[in-house]
Amino acid sequence: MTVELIPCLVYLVFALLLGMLPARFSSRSVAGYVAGDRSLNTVLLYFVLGAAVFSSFAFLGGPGWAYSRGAAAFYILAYGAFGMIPFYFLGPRARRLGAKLGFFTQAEIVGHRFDSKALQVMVALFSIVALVPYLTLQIKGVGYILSVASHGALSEWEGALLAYGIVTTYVLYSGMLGVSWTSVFMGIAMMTIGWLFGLYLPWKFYGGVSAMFHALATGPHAAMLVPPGLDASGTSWDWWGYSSAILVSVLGFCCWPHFFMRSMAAKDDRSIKLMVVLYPTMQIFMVPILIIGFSAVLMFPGIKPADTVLPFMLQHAGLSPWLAGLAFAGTLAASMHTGDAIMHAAGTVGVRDGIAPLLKKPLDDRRQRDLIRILIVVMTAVAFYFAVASKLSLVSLLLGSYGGVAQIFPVLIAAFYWPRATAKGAAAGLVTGIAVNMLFLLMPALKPVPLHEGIYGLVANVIVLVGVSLMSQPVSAERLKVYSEAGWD
Amino acid sequence: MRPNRVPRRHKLLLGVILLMLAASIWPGYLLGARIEPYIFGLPFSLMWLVLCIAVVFVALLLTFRADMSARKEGGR
Repeated sequence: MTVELIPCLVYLVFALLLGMLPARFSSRSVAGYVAGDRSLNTVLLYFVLGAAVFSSFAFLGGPGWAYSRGAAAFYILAYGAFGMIPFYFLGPRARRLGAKLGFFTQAEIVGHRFDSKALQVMVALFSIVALVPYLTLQIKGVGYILSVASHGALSEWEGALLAYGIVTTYVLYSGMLGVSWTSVFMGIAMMTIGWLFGLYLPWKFYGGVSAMFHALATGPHAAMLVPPGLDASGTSWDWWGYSSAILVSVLGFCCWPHFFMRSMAAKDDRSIKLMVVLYPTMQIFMVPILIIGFSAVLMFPGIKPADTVLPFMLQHAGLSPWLAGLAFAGTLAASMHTGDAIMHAAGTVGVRDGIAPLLKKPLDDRRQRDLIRILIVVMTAVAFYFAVASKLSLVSLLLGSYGGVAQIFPVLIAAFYWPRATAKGAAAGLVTGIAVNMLFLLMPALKPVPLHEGIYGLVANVIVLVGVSLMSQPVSAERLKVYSEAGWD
Repeated sequence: MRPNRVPRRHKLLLGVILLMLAASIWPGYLLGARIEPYIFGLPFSLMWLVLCIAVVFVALLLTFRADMSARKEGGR
């Protein structure tokens, strides 16, 4: 047992307790399990949705980007600040529809609005294909961290099993409220630890944040501080790539299924709107995280892969093991914060949109809840297998999924704001968008200009969506009535 | 499914958001893409983005307050 492991274990025990406790406060129904009986207030929503900012990408990828690519990492600040804004208008509408018609997921709304179960199943399948690699990455992050923190006494798969065993336990036991209560604890822990290290490391190495940036600016790495920073190979990145990466991430942000469906868990419109208002403050907490990465540039050159820069410093920078343990615990929190939300969403989407529409008889409440739990275990097991056993690289799948998820955006906008949009149009647009996105992802040499592949997908998507919709039979006015009554925001 | 008329404050909000978005990417960010002057010890390029985010936050906050009082007055 190493000293570093003690804060991690204390944290894990707390996470388990906080995750199990709220089961007492929600009903034993699908609404209780999936959406916390539609009772989430602003604070819970803020931290649950903070998962997008604070995933294991934040503590590993964020400093890694700053360390290897400099100002390119600022793109993380920009997209998170803007990505939530469409939710100010879409979220309350989705909430009211969900409460009125008994929906809990994004695909249920899409399926109802376009009067198409096929479209609903398609969105669900596609959601799961995007979510499983995302979950895999979170599990990988935890395994790695616990293995490093224990100085190798725990192997990566043992570490991953310990942490995700705990996550699975509370997600199965308390559902949405378990996910949201733990996220408040994890979010506050991460913010505190992020600021602590973002200020402490530059102070320790350089005497302060300002001194650190001055040293960087006068050294051989000055170019990295000028946007758009460096690309993956270390040469100057282009504005095309930087700008379009931000645009795609902004549009895709609230389309992630584990995100959009939280509108259906909200207590009222006010709490969704206030959460969106407060959300940019979450981005400010990324600033110290990036500073952590910058502090390593001159002190520890040549760390590879760059994503391991924080764990590397925790081992080799001569920190007290208690302090290092605290940072390891923060990294665990970042991964679990996102992992639990993904598991919960993937299980729900899989059952309500993937399995239920294909059955002849409707599922009763109890069955449905059991099935969601079973599916959560199955999908976590699949992600676990990919994380610890498979040699298959998921990075490209994950990269593809960002551009792919953004393709849902035109469908959502059309569903809410364009009455003439039809199921055929939405399905054709979605398939075309995803296909174009994958094509340019796999064969970047074909791109006319070095824009993010998601932009090409979006352009094709919108053209096909509009064209095919206009050529097909409109959805009946009766079905659209509930959407026109839902108001503009 | 005609959406209700879009209130003017929401058009204004979208305008501010798009302006700030343009300031965070090409071409707006060209103005902020330099190291000096330092503000609070941070390079100008980083502070520029933090300021954009602050403007977005204030714009959202004002819109939210107006939305809530509009609702109280018997709107939606």
